[in-house]
Formats: sequence, structure tokens, C-alpha cells
Amino acid sequence: MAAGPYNYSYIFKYIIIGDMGVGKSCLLHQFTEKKFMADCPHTIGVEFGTRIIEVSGQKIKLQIWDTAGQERFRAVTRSYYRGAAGALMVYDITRRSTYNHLSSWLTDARNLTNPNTVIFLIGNKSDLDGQRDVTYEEAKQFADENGLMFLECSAKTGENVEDAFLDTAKKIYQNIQDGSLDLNAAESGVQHKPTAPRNAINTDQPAAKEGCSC
Amino acid sequence: MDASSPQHSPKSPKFTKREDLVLLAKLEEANRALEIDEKSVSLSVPSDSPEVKGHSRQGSECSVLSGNSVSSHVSNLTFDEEISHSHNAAASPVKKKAAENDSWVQWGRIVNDWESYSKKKYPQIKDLVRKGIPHHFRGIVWQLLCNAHNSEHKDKYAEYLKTPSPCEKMIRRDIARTYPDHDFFKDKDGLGQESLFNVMKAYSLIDREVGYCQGSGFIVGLLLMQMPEEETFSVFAKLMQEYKLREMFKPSMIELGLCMYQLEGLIQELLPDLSIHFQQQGFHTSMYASSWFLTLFTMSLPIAISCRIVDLFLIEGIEIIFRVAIALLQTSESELLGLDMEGMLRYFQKDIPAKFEADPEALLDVAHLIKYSIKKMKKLEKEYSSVKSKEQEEQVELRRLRTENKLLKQRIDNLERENQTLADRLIQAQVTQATMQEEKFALKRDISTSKQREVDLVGKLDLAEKDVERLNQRTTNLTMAEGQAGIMIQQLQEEIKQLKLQIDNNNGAMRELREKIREMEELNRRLQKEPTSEIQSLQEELIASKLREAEANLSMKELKQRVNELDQFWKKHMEATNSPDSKKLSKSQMQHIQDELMSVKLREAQALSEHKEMKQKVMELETQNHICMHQMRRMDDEKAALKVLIDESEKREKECLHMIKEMERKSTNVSSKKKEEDMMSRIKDAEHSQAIAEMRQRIAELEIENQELVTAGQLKSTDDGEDDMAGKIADLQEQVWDLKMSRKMQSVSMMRLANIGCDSESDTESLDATITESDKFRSFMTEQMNSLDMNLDGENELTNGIQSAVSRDDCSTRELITITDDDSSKTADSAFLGSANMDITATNTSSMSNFSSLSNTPDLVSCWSDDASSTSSDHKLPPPGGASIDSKKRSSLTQCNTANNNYKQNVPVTDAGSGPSIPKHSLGNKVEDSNLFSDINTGTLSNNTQANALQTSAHKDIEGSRQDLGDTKGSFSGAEGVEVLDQIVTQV
Repeated sequence: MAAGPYNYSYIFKYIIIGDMGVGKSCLLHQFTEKKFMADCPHTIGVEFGTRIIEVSGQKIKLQIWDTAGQERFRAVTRSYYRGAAGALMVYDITRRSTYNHLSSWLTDARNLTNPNTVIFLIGNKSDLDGQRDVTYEEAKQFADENGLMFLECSAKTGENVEDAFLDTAKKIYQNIQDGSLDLNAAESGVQHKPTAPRNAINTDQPAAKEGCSC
Repeated sequence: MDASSPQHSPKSPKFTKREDLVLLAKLEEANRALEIDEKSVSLSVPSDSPEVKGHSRQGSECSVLSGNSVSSHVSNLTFDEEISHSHNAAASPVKKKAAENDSWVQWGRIVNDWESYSKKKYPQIKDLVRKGIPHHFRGIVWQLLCNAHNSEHKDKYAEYLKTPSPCEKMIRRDIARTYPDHDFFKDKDGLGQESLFNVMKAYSLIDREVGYCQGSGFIVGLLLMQMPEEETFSVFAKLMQEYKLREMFKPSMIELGLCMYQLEGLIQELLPDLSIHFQQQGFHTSMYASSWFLTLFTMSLPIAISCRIVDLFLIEGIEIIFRVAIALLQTSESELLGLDMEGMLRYFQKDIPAKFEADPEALLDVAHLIKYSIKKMKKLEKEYSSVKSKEQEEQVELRRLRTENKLLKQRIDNLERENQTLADRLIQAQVTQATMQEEKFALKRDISTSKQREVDLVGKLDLAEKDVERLNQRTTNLTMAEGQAGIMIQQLQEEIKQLKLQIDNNNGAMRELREKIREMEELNRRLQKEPTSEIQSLQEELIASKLREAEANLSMKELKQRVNELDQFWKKHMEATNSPDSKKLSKSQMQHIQDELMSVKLREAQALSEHKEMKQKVMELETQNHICMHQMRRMDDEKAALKVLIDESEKREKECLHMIKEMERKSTNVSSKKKEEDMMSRIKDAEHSQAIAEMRQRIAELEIENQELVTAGQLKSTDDGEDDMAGKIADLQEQVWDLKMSRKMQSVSMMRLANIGCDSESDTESLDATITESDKFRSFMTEQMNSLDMNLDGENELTNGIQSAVSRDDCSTRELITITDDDSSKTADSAFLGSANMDITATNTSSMSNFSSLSNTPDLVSCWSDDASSTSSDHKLPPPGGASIDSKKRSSLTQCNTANNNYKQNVPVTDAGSGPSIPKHSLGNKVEDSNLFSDINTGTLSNNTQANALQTSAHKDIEGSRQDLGDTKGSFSGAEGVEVLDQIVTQV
């Protein structure tokens, strides 16, 4: 449980990747703020958000890096993959091209993260079912073939957004429990009890609510 | 107020009136207030101001502006000014007003006559921009600053609007997400979004490489807030192409990485604490600063500051971004140091924009005070490029190594496959060998069985031969038995004849007897008829006859039995001889036996032939066996060769690997060397360039000097006697040189005398005397020189003589006495040489006599040391023997002087190059002497070695004397130089 001055016992580092305009920042905003930001400015470089969740009675702080989606920004964002415990790979169910690019994102994710990194596939904009361009089954199959977890979410309605983030955390926690994820490894993406003392504990809570707001 | 400006606006006379000034000041103040309002509060867009335009039109009649405005914009703006002027009623301090007035007036003038201002007064413009471009001028000034007002892109804008772009979709996606909170861009498909889209699309058409990049929209948005889209487009194009923003937006984004690296370097240098804190927190520069560079702070700071930053960016370029970035960090350092990574990120997101919203100038003031060194930036750029290139090299290397690895793996696979095939072949060979062996074994077995059979056959043959023999024996036995049987048959036939005769006899007897019986019976009958007595006798006779009869019967029976027996025996015999016609039978039997024999013989022959065949077969098998053996051996050889091959291939593989490793190592070495060399060459280059610069400077100096000299020469050219004077001076210098030399000699001799232990006073006296006599010595010197040359010739002759003596010596090595004679003569020669060289004959001869006297003594060391000392004395060193003549100071002094003179003479000779021959000759003599001497004393080995040692010591002494010579020379030139010069001067 909360140890010492900290009200969480783990920090998990996440990274959100995917083509531009698939709703990465909105997902992050929805998760951290629990509301939909229709006109979120596009991300330059990276953005950042946090939220504390609870898994199996353990308080876990999620440290989420939201990256710019444009291809050329990969040069900048690649350095953020390193040491990520979870990677949320997002595509837009109404745009097939974003789904088609998944393999390239997956290659990056696999190459630049450690083998234990949990990769979660998210089909965003599930509220726009009428404009659907990628079927659930197809994406599910892709996820199964590549050993990914998968959910269709809507950053707009908030559907499944919590689950996607929480399921990833559960999986990571499970990996820690069964020993397949070595906490001491340099790039596990998991910190057990933060090392640097925070000068103000109470900044945590409001901070989690601020998240991605620009 | 720049009254001196030639481009005086027609307005200026107007402002000379105080009332007007006051009025204008009021107007400016109001405007400023308005401006600030616009910037900070609603950010109402100045470019989309048809209202303003309308106003300006209304107020156009009261315009004082000259007609030659650069664009309608300018006139509009000046009209604005007028309007405000007329409407404004607010009061404000006069000073401030004046400043404002200044700025407005100046900007008005600048804008109106941009061409000449930009050429002549650029620094002034720069200063003005630093102070801030007034809001209303901003749109036009930006265009002017980046020279976009006459850009060619502007004309084609309409065309671009019609052309579709591949980036359209992407741009469209981001349009709504650019300044989403800003009024101008808020409305979906509103004017702002549409023009933003148009400009972005148009740019993506003119720069296909960059196309559209996220972030650039914010810059375009800011521009659109100041000017219409066509102008925005041209300014944006200029910004991208001439301010190198496009480098940042290129797909590789290398420039951005460079900026991050440079900023990091700057932070490290200027804000070391913060840099350490960032590093500790893992807070990378790109986490907060990417957007600063990509959007020129438009995304991170309030629009008012962004506008100011863009003002400066147009003048100063990317430098201002670095300055502002450092200023931001510097002003927030204390806060940042107390935050962790998340806190800092939040701080940059939230607090920074708020912090500077109120006072944009403060930040810029700080920014202008930042120490920004272009050199440092260049250095960082170089570092970054080297880091990048290194990374790339590494990647290339990695790729290369990977491919190499792949190739090697392939090769290994190939080798393994080869190995496999070889192993297979080996196994096959082994299998074949095994089968061969099996065959061989089988053949051996065959051979052994056939041999066995042969043995059996031989045995059988023997048996058969034995059979034949036995049969032969039997046949002979049979023939023998046949003969016996014939004899027995004859005997039996005779017996049978005898028996037949007996039977006849018996039959005759029986007839007789029967007759007798009848007679008897008749007698009996008659007796019966006659009386009994007679009967009785008759009866008795009867009984007796009856008894005889019984006996005859018995013998008959016996005979019959014998006949039967004979018959039986015969029969038996017949049976034994197979038949009564046994002869025939035996013959047939013989024949039969012979047949049998023949057949046996045939069989024997057959067996023999078979035997032979078998033998042949055995031979064949053996040969086969041999062949097999050979084959096997060959197989073995092949196998061994294959093994060797395998080994070799493995070795080669290893070697290859080794070589590859070495090559890798070499390549890394070479690359590192190359880098080092690069670095060195660069450093050298720099040094060279510096040296060149220095040289140039020197050349320039020299030229100046030269010039001076030339002018001086020209001035002095009138002086005719100068040349003569120079000659004189030269002569004098020479004289002084000689004097100096002699003085040196004197000093040296003084030193020596002192060493010897002379009285110092008398020494000084003598020295003084010698100094006065120096001129005389000079003449004497030349004489001595000549005599020395003569001596040299004589010496050469002497050496020849010595050589002949050596040859003579060789001839008569055994005669020691003559040798000693020769030696003594040689000693005399050398003595003569010594006397020729200088006036130390006495010592030399004494040493020589010592030499000759000691030559046969074992104590060679002392002799040779003497000799060596004499040699050294030859070389003008103070003779050790000089101590003995310390009483005659004067004479020794003169001697020394002459010696010195000689020495002096020798110096130039030595310099001329012929000099060394003199000491060398004398040395050569000595060496030859010593050689001779050693030859003489060959009997005593130790002497010889000692002689050699002495020789070397002599050499050393010579060397020492030479060194002394050099030293004296050096000291001479050094110590006496000043004096000589003084003398020259005085003489001149």
C-alpha cells in the first residue's frame, strides 16, 4: 500500500502511439480528466499525463506519454519508447489507413521497448460506428496474431477507455507478480516506490486531474 | 528625434508645434493602450479589420501622409493613426508620448521608404524592432523584414489555391486543432480555419520535401492574425526557406535534434544547476523545448509575447529562440529546481504562459542579456554533427557487421554442409572399407576353406593312392592265391584219383569178399550139410569177416567224409574264388581293379587339376585380396587427405574469422586514426592559418621596415664614403676578430697557467704582454700556418714512411730487434712530427722515448697514457709536462701562445674542411704506431688488449681535446663579442 510519504507503490510508464488524428491525446484526456476535449490542439513532440489507479489493492501511478502522430515526429518520439511498461497503440476505426499503419507502429514498439512491455491495441472512435472502416473481428484477429490485448474505445463517450488503461496495468502487475517482469531491470518501465521525494504530496491529486490540457 | 534623417517625413514640421505634439502623444498613448488590449485580452485579429479599414477611409481626408505609401496597408495604418489622433482624448505623460511618437513616426517613415532604410539604416531598424514593432505596423513590417513584399510566391498564390495537394487530408485534420481556443480559428469552416488551410496547402505545394508538418500551423496562425492569407503565405514561405525553418520541419527533423542539442549545451553552460537537476530527473530537453522551436513559442507562450518573439526572429533569426528559451529557464530556475519531472512538465505547460502573460518585455529583456556565443553554437553544431555521424557510422557499422555476420554464418553453413558431405563421404568410405574388409574376410575364409578342401583332397588323394596300392597288393595276393588254389586243386584232384582208386580197390575187395561170402555161404550150406565143426569154424570165420567188413565200412565212411570235406573245401574255395572258373573271374577282377585303378587315376588327375584350379583360384583371391588391400590403403589415404582437408578448411575458417576480426580491429583503428588525423589536420590547419596570419603580419611589418629602410637608404645614398666605410668596418671587424681570437688564446693560456699553479700576478703581467704582442702573433700565426701546411706535407710523407716501415715490419716480424729499431725510427718520426707541429718536442720526444723504452715492458698502460698525453698535446692541449717548466713562465707562456696560435690557425682550417686531416694524421701515426706495437707484442695477448684499450683512450683524449677546442671557440665568440664590437665602434 501507500508507502511512506507516497500514496502509491508503483509507477508504470505508458506510451500512446498511433497515426495522427486517431485520438491519442483525447484518449489520454478522457482517461486523466474523464471528459472529452473536442478541440485539443495537435501534439508537438510529446505531451504528458498522470493518474493514480488501483490494481489488486495496490495504488499505481500511471505516467503516460502521449506522442505526436506524424511520421516525421517518430525521430523525436522514438526516445520515449524506451522503458515503457505499457504501450497503447491506437488506430481510428473509421479510417482504414490508420489501421494499415499498425504493423509499422508495432515494429517500432517491439524494437524500442523491452520484451515484457504490454502492448494494447485500441480502436478508437467506436462511437462513430456508422462510419466504421475496420471491423472488430479483423482487428481482434490482428491483435490475437500479434499477442496484443485489444479493445474498441471511444474517447468521446469514454466507453472502454478506463478498461484499456486498467487492463494494461493489470497485465503489467500480473507480470510483476509472476516474476516475468524484473523490476530491477533498467528499462522495465516500472518503479517500485518513487525514488525522488516529492516536495508536495498533495500536488499528486490535482496533478492527475490536470493531465493534458494545453 | 532624428532630425538629421534625410527622409524627413512631411509630418515632421507639424510636430514642431507643441500643441500638435501633445495631441499626437495622446493619440499614441491611446493606441498603445488599444494595442495592449488587443494583444492580451481578446486577441482580436488586426488583419481581419474591415472596420479599421472603413475608419481609415473615413478619415482619409485628414491624412497628412505622403502619397507614395508602400502598400495600402501602410496607408491604412497611418490612417489609423490619424483616426486615433482625432478621436483620442486620453491624457498621459508628455515624455512617454514623445517616445511613442518617435516610434510611430520612425516606423511610418521606415515603412514608407523601406528600400533606402533597409540599406542604410539597418542597425537603426534593428534597434527599433528590439523595442517592439507597434502592433499596427507589425503586419507590414514583418513582410518588409523578411523581404516577402516582393516575393514571387505571392503572385502564384491564387494558382496554388486551385491546385490539389497530397497533404490536404493531413492539413485538414490539424486545422481544427490549431489555436482551438482562439476566436479567429474557433469556427469550423470559418474564415480563420479556411485561410489557415489555404496557406498550409499552398506551402505544401511549393515545398514538396517538407509538405506539411505539424507545428507549422501555429506559425501560420500567428501570421494570419497579423495579415491576410496571401501575405501570410509569402511571409511563411520566406520564414521556412530563408530563416531555415524548413530544415526543422524536414522529414528527418535533424535540425530540431541539433537545436535540442545546442539548447542542452547552452543550459549546461549557463545554468549548470538546472542542467544537473534535469539530468537527475531524466528530464530531456525535447520534452519541453520541441514545441518552442517548432512553433517559435506560439504554442507555449501568450500570443503577445509570441508576436514580439517573431519580431525579433525576423531580425535575429533562430538565436532569439535560444535566448528566450534560456531566459525562460533562467527566470524559472528556482521553481524548476524544486520540482520533479512531472512537476516541471506541468510548470512548462501551465505556469510559464501565465507567468509572462502580464509582462512580455521582462522576458525579452532577460533574453537580450543572455550570453549567446555563436562560436559556442557552432562548436555544439559540430559536436552534434559528429555525434550524429558517429551514430550513423555506428549504425552503418552495425548494419555492415550484421551483413558480414550473415555472410559468415552462410559461410559457416556452407562449410558445415561441406563438412557434412565430407563426413558422409568419410562414412561411405568407411562403410565401403568395412564391406571390403568383410569381403576380404569372406575371401580369406573362402581361401581357407578352399585350402582346407585342398588339404582334404590331398588327403583323399593319398587315401586313393593307398587304396590303389592296396588293390594292387590284393591283386598280387589274389594271383598268388590263385596259384596256390591251382596247386591245391591238383593235389585235390590227385587225392580224388587216389580215393577213386581206393574206392575201386574197395569195390574189388568187396566183390572178393562177396564172393568169399558166397563161397562161405556155399561152404556154410555145404557145411550145414557137412558137420558143425566145420560150421563153427565157418561161423567164426564169418564173424571175423563181418568185423572186417565193419572196419572197411568205417574207413569208407571216413573217406567219404574226407571227400565231402574236400568237396566242401573246394566249394568253399570256389566260393572264395567266386566261382570254379576263378581264373576268368580274377581276370575280370583284375580288369575291374585296373579299371578302378584307371578311374582312380583319372580321379586323381581330376583332383590334381582341381587342385591346380584351386591353387589358381587361391592365387586369384590373393591378388584380389591384394587389390582390396591396396584399395583399402588408398581409401585410408583418401580418408586422411579428407581429414587434412577438413582440418585445413577449419583452420582457414578460423583464419578467416581471425582476419575478419583483425580487419575489423584495423578498420576501427584506421577510422579512429583517421578521425584523429582529421582532428590533427584541422588543428594543424588552424595553426597554419594562424601562422600564415602571423607571417603575413610579419611580412607587412617587414615591408614597412623595408619601406623605411628604402627611404633611409635613399636619404643616405648621397653619402659617398659609406661603401668605403663599410669596407673599412669589415676589415676592422676582421682585425677585431683576430684580436679577439688571440685574446681568447691568451685567456685560455691564462687558465692553463692558473691550473698549472703559476703565480697569478706574473700571469696577468704576461697576459698583458701577450695582448700587446697580439699583432705580432698574428703575423707569426700566418707563418705558422704556412709551416703547418708544410708540416702537413711532411707528415704525409712520414706516414708513407711509416707505412713502408710497417711493410718492412711485416717482412721481418721475427726479428724483434730490427722491429724495435724501426719502432725507434718511427718514434723519431713522430717526434719530428710533434716538433713540426709545435714547440713541445721535448715532452713529445721524452714521451716517445718512454714509449720506445716501455714498448717491451708489460707495463703498457703508463706508456700508452704517456703516448695519449702526447697525442693530446699534439692537439694543442696544455701538455702535462708543462708543469715541469713552470719556472720558465715566460717561455711556457709563449709556447702556449704559439700553441694557441696554432690552434687558432687550425680552427679556420678545420672550418674549411681540410683541418681534420692534421690531427687525424698525427692520430693516424699514433694509431699506426700502436698497431705496430700491438703487432710486435702479439705474443702477449694481454698487451694487445691493453694496447687497444689505450688506443681507445687516446681517441677519447682526442675527442676531449676537440671538445675543448669547441668550448674555447664558443666562449671566445660569446665573451669577447661585446668587447670586439666596442672596439669596432671606436675604430670606426
